[in-house]
Amino acid sequence: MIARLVLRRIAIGAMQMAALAALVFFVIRLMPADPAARFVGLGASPEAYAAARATLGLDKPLLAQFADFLGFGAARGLIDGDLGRSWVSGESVAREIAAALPITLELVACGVALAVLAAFPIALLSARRPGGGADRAVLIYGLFAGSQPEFVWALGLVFVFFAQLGLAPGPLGRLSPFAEPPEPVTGFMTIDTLLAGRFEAFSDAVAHLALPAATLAIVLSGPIIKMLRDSLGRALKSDHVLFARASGLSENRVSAIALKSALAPTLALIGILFGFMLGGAVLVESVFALGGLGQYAVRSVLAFDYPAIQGVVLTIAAVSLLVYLITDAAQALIDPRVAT
Amino acid sequence: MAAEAALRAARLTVIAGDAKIVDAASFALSPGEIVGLVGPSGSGKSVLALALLGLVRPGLRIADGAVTVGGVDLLAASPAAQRALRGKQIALIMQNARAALDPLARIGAQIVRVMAAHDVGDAADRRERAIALLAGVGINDPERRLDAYPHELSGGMAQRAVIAIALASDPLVLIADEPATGLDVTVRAQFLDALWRSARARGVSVLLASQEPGVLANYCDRIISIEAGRITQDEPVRSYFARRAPHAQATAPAQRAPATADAPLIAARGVSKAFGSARARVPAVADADLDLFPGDSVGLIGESGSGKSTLGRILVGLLAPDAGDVRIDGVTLTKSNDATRRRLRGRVQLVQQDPLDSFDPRWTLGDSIVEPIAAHERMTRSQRRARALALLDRVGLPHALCDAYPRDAPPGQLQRAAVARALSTSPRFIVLDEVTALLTPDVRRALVASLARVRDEDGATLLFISHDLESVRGLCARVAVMYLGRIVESGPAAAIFADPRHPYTQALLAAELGEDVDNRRIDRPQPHDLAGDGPVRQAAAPGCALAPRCSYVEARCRTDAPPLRDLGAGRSSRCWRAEALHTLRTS
Amino acid sequence: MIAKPGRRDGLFADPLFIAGAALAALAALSAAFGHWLTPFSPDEVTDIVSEPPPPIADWPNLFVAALGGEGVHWFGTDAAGFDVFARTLAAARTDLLIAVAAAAISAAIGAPLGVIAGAVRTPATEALARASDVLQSFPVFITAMVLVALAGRSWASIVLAMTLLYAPIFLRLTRAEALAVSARGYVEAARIAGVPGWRIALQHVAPNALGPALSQLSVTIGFAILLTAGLSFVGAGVRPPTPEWGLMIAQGAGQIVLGDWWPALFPGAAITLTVFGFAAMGQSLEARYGR
Repeated sequence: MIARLVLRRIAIGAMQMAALAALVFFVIRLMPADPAARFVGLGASPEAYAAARATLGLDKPLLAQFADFLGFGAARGLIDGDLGRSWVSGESVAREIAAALPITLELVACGVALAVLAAFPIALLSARRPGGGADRAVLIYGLFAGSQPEFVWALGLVFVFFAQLGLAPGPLGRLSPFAEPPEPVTGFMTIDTLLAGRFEAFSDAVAHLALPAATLAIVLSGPIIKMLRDSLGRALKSDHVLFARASGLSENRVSAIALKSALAPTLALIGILFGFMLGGAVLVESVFALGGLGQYAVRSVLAFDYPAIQGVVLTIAAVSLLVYLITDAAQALIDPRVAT
Repeated sequence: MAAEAALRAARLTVIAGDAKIVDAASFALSPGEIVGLVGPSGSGKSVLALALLGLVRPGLRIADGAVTVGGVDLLAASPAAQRALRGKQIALIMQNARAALDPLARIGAQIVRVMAAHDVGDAADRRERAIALLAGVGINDPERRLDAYPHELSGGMAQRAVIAIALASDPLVLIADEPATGLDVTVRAQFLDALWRSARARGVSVLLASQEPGVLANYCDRIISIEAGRITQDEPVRSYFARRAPHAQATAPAQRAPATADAPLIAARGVSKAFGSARARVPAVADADLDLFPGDSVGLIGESGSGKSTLGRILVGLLAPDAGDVRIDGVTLTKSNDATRRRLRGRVQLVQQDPLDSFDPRWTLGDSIVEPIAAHERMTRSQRRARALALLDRVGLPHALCDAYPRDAPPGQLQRAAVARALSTSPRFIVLDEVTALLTPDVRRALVASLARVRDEDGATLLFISHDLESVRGLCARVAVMYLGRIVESGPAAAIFADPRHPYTQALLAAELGEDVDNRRIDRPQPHDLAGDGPVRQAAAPGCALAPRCSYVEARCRTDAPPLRDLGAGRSSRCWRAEALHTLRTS
Repeated sequence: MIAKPGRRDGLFADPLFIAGAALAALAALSAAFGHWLTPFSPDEVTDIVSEPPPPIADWPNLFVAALGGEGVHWFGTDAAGFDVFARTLAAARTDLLIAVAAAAISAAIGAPLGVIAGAVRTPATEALARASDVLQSFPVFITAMVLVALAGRSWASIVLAMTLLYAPIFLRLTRAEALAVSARGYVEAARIAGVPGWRIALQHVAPNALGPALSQLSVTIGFAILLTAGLSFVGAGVRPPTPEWGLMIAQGAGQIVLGDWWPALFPGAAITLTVFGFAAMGQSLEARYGR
């Protein structure tokens, strides 16, 4: 049954991606921006400008450009898995994204994991006595954590842990400035350093990841705690938990039953937050100069680098859909009602 | 006698803030005794029932008292000792079985974990025990059901699974809070039979909280009455009903003879309607024929899912039939709902099941009551108010309700206000869809009495959709019975109640729990109860839809679907053996 | 769930709502009248660069001096010499205008469409719902950045981009609620009474389905402030030297590492308090009217 769910979701996802690809392509070209002018700079000769338009393929009709983008033209395109070449660097967009994506994934995965680890005990504490002091404090914290822009949290942490206490390394990348990065295998700095057997580099990588991941964890923990608290509260009030108590099950057993039924909706939220942060992490990436997908997006957007913009949007959408799929499948494993 | 009580509650008090929800309740259950706990909703029945296990819902607290089970004071015991008593000595059966089961665990696992908590048997043979338990509460194919999740079970099966869990460690006392209230009548009666038999066989004492006089009369030895948290009476079941009888009789309205006229007001021919996606169409109504004459009052009975409500909504033009032909007061129903409704406006009305849901929470009752008129007539504020007050008078409601909001009125008054709204346009035809289902027995009788008045004074034609046979008997001159979307029997009410000519009607009537202590269902043999837990839909099976559950089934029934046959005297039945049923039943 | 009328008076009994409303009002007041509180202009540099704010102990004396017409750099000055206090107050105007406009326009477009899509189910309204689903599957921050950068970095483009991103949220929320309301008994009762569909949608469905949109409006204003500031922070929002909280923090970020905390702290605190205010109001409204 779960297999059917997965297949159906993949089919829907593919259609969504197709609609998205078309939408991205046309929307950015409808905008009143002039990438050719940006390319040659102001004051360029009309000839240079025309040449730039030809180089970028902007002189062709819009539908022909779209066919090229999809891969129905002379060169490889989307259907071949090719996202084109960056107008700025001339490199393959797919390759550039492949280098940037693991950085963001590593950051977001660590942030989400930290947030979830923190959320469980806090939500349990809060749901035990609804309306109590702990519950109210948790509610306020949740609102407060989500009210700070990520970069304010990030700068605050940098100020305290780097500028004042000197505990954390400076916000200048994923490794210390003079450390030699390991051979990229997975693209995840923590894993690559371990694969290379360089433990001092590994701890350096972890130290550089600590503050950015903590920033994300703070921001993400608010909604996760709120969701867990609400669904735990509902579960603890439910008839089936009451019946479990009435049947003489131990308090630990009862808590486990309630926690399991609170887990399913929380998983869905975690998936959504993960997807949201793939693009949203850009603010944290820029504070710590990590050079992830978000920063790649900023660079591309400001340079009117259309192929890169298309690539980033489609990549984030695809990864988000994949994450939703995974969390939905996990949800279906926990809750048999979801699978049908 | 006092020393050997299975359960004894003394001065049990439950509070919410300063309010006493249960106030110093004291009583005892003897071993093997089945005691009814009766009281209006909000009287503290359910709270008291839970408190006997030392449990309360959030916001409540047990303030005082003792509950002695098997010689131990449960409330004074340590939390661990309380847990050991719960489920082991005293177990609970909750009202809503689906909600009581953990949706994320298989039935077997839920039974086994209760056994494990009380060290019943050893790990190896718990599964075998669970199978035996499920079989014992009447679940067919228990081995397969053990691996089912609650959402895969029918309501009746879920209720049985809850009993199985409650009985998992052989308790001395069972607390049953309005068990099986949401179930279909035939399933429910069989379920209560099973509960009664299990309890008697094991010598278990049962406290059966219920508002239904029928349940109390049929299954209880003694009745405890509770009102506003205080126990007001504790008496044998016969004395309880002796006290109550005159009151119950007074309000029952008189029945009328079936109306006849040349031309029917409503004529439905071959009406069919299916719901669902194109791939999975579920037929709700199949090939239904029904005539209603002016001044007629027809009871449409059958269990939930039988298509009663769908047929009712087709007859007032809210739903368009997929096939068939309906004429309402000279208007032929078309495929377009909107056009039909505009032409029918005011001439047909509907009263819905849930009175609270049928009023906009933001409107005063007065505004809601005159909405059907105001939709088509320009009226001033004072005109509207005058009309609303007059309508409230018609159904015997106080004028104060005119400015009240729905949440401020009790369900019985709301339902009467809904009747007033239906009457506002002086309709020729009113469909009443399960209007008594959510009301307490006393309120139910009052509503039926005022409906009878409406029928007599206005001459409106009524279609009374219900599975509450008592109300149907009191109000309706004719009856039509539906099963799985088909009308299986119809005819004069008196004749059908006296001598049903379809096995399903027969089972439905047998499942009615009358208020007669001398004629209890459990004392009668029930050889012709329907098998299984509710209707079985077979997509493409030929033959009679009831065949898989019917005890009169013969070869022909499985191959040829019976038509609705005219039996004379205004009666018809969809059974091959209709004429023979009477003799077969008594033989 | 369905909003319960008559409990509206309870809103001001909720401390969370009062706190939220007070913070939001504070931001609105500084947007409207902030320029009266300081002689410094948010758009003109002073000669004093990177001056820290005065110690709290000096505030009473400085307060007297300020009343006498003397200019006080309450929040210090930044690296370019701008008065941080004047700019923090003035930025409230930029951020609130953009955020309130974006949230209000989104709600004004999304909520009525949601009521229609939920109350009247036709192929057109179903297509509308699907289209809004596709819009919602765009990555929010990146999409906003792309739209603003390509449409020209002005406050109007930001409002436009956010409307495109937030209107579907209102549509979806209201549609779900309207669908639930349409299945209620009182809607059926009105239909059988022959009340026309548009009147049912207006009189029954809309009033009962708009509750969640109210709490969403408050929450969305908060989101919009965060997004506006975030766009500026990465250089894809309003152009400097517009006084804007995100831009101020971005300019102060470089100095944080040097230990100069004030150019970033004060606008940061302003965002936090304002967004917290709207989030708290939203939370309180949600508890009352559902979502």
